[in-house]
Amino acid sequence: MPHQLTVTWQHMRRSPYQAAAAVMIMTLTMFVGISFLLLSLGSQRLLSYLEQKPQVIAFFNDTVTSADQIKEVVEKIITTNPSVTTKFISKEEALKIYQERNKADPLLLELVTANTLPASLEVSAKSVADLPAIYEILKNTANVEDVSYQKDVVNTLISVLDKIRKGGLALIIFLVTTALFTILTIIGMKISLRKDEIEVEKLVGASSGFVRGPFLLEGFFYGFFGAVVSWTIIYGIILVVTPHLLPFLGGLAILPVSPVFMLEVLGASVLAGGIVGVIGSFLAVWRYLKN
Amino acid sequence: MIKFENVSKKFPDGTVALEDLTLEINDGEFVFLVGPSGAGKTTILKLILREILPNSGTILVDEHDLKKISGGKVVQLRRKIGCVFQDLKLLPDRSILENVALSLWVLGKNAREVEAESKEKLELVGLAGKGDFFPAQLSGGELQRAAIARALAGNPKYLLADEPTGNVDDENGWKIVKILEKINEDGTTVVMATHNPEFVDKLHKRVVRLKDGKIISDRRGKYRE
Repeated sequence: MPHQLTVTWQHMRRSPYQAAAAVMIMTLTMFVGISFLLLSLGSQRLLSYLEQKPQVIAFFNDTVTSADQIKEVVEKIITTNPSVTTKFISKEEALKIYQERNKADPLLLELVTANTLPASLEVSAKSVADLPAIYEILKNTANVEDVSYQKDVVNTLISVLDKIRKGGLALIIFLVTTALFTILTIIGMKISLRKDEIEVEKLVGASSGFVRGPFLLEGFFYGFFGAVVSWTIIYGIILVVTPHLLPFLGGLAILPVSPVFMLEVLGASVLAGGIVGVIGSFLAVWRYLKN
Repeated sequence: MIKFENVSKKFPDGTVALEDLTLEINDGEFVFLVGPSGAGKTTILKLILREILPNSGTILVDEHDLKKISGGKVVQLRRKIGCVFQDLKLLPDRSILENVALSLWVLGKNAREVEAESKEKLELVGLAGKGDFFPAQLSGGELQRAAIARALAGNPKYLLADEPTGNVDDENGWKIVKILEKINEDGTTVVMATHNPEFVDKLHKRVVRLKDGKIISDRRGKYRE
């Protein structure tokens, strides 16, 4: 194997432009692949976050000031949907939340008092499918002024993310196919260029594995380097943008990205890139080195 | 042992290279294949190495029936045979040491063994100081000897040499023949195709004379008797 690695390295070193082209196409493919993987995982986390958040919020008129006044409606909701959780937010609590969120803006704090804000009931369901029934109950409850309903937001998000995933998958399939053909062509050219060497190897008793090994390893290395380079770029971008995104997305538990998770992504990327590279070179060997 | 039984070889262009040829070469022998160009000398060597297959007849090299073996058995066969090709087949982008080492890498030897044995073989053929040279930097005689060194790497049981003195002067040619003679004395079966009478006559070994793909004489002695 050390000799095979040496030969592989020589193959790559002696045709640096072809090697660079192969690594670049693999980098592009893996860059898009890793990006969509992270986007997909991130969006999954975002969806989970949104689904855990209060999805139906009923705002009461000023007559409702304590949780006891809405006991009946809470019981009714729980009876119909045992898995839901409810939380009553009094006017005073609403003011505290408001003050906390706007502590940096004294002008906004001065304008609002507890009386300005309505008491509310936040209801969280495990499934978006439970929301319509809860919405109906709250809408028909006395003293409810308004009901905020997140179903449409979640559904729109699911639909958008589904389209992004499908588009990403199509793009990845296209790029993987391009990478396969590029590696096939490059390795095929190298096989043609080295046909004298291959002939001599066979005549002196080289096994099929000995002849083919360096070409397969070369494909693997193109995938390997492509994965490592693209991962490094992506992780670099994440590290740079994280401080800027934390104020907006900190609550989602997505950022900062765990280094352990990123190492897992690196492992998976190297494996995926290596497999694509080996398949590309295997196709070339199969096509040009039959016997 | 190498055994040809009623072997015929006809190329696609219609050329008859061998016709119903029967030949037996015992282990440890030194055999000259002589005859004019087109007599079938190279074809015999190519058949032994299984570069080509016969149209009819049987070829046995040790336990291998060359018409029946494939894949891994061909690899095993070729590892028993060292070959000095007519066109040498030295790789121009590899040093002489690397060319010799190739025959050892395919055997799966480690780096230390490969380096030691490659140097030993270069020393045997008188190229000890030229391992780092590339083929373009060597003379014709040196190239022939480098090809012999590669053929000898791995200590094959059989050595096939196709016109190894073809492109060199008499002095270098004689050096090459003496190397082959020494290898044979060490136990390697040598089959050498040549049309140079001088070397054949001096060595006084078995001479198989060919003409138009047929054996016209097979005895110990001189080029023409």
